[in-house]
Amino acid sequence: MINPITVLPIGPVKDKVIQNIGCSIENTFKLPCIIGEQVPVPDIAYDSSRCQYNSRVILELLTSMFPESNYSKILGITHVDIFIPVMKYVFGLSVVGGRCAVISLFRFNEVSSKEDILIERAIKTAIHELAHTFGMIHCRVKKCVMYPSTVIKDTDNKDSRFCMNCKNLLYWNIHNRSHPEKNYP
Amino acid sequence: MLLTLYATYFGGVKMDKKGERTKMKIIPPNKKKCVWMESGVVSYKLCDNNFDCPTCPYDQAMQRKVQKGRERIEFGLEEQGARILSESWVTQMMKLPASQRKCRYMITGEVERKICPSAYECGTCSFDKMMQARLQSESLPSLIKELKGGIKIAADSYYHRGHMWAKPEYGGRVRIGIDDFGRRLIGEISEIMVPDMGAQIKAGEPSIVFRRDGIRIDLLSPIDGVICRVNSVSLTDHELIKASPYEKGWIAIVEPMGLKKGLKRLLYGEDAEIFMEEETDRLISEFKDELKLAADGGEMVEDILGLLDRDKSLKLISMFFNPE
Repeated sequence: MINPITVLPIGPVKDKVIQNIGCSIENTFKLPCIIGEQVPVPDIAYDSSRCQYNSRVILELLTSMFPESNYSKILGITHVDIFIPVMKYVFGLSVVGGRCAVISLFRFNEVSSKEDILIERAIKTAIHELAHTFGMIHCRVKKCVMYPSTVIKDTDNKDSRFCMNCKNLLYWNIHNRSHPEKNYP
Repeated sequence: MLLTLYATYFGGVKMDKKGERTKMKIIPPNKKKCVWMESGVVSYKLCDNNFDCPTCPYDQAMQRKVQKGRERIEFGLEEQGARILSESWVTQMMKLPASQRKCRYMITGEVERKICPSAYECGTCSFDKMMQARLQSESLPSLIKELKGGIKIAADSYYHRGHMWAKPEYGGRVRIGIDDFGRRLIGEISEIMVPDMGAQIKAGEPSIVFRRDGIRIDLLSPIDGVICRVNSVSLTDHELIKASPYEKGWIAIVEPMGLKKGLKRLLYGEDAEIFMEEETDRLISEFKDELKLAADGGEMVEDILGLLDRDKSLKLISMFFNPE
């Protein structure tokens, strides 16, 4: 039995956004996806010197909150601005080959504040971060969803789909790595 | 019609008026014709010495050949059918109508239009002197590209793995400076020390010193050469290096030794871009200990050493500015 991917709102997030992201994840990864109960934004992750939340701390909390036996992959979605120490901000953060990923909707309203655009950006970032948890790394194909975005324009320019190479690698990873009992080279 | 246009643009085979096929010369986009080709003496040769003819081995060999050719003609030693080179590019250029005698600064693209007023005697030309002075103090604009993490890179510069760039300019001199990744890593600069004019620097050896709160950062020289000018403005106004590390924030001009060989050891174009992105990944991985994190989005902060304690700072400095 395959454990489903859990989409978890951290703090208030619109239902429409969560539902859309959930559907896209199901379609892309061909894995069941469930929507978890909303959890509050952890105060411990707040960095008062930067007025932002440390995404790494959020990831660690997610990992400890949800035991591995019941949850395969967890994608946290938050509305607060997140960062990692070397970057001014990040759209999302995940552990490569790990279980948890987090994305922030905070910067998706830049340039355009239409809800459709926000959802599209959120979907691309969600797929990008979840793919990292399946062991995928960044891709140099500009249209591929695994292309690293620096600014929101990069996210707008890329597709929500994988390039051919990444697609094959992703399905290989999903089918082989998510079943540890299977032997693979 | 389209095909002809294509052929005219990208070279290859073109039909002339009589319908005969004539060959076209393809000049790669970032290359310029050698003066020997420009004047029509040789059919194909690209400049690989930055129009610094006095130090160019090709120019010296060609001059010798012309000299020999002249002697052979003088002594009546010409062979039937063999082509003897007896005219240098200057003579050939002087045969052109005055309006077509391009100044060497026009050939290199530094000025839009300038016709040579003398017989290519650049050593005594006042325009040449003025241009030399201007080019030394002013940096030419570069094509800046933004990479992952907001790291900027100048497309026409060569990069050393110790985060210094070198840009060959007209006349064979090379401008050097620190790259965007390096200056973000150092962050707040308190002092910059550059060897005096006339001092010799060696590629891969410490040459320029940056200081930040008592931490000394030795930057490795990207090429061999002699310092011939120092940018006194950016040494006092460090904001200039932060705002424009590839243009106004240049550090020194070097009279290079063995430029062609030296540049081969540096990274250029796509290699440099890949290198910078790898460095960004390496830096991010330094901050996340045991977890293998991947971040999407975000621009690198301006002052990275400012986030760290002294020990960790020293570790990063030796990691990124002193690569093997």
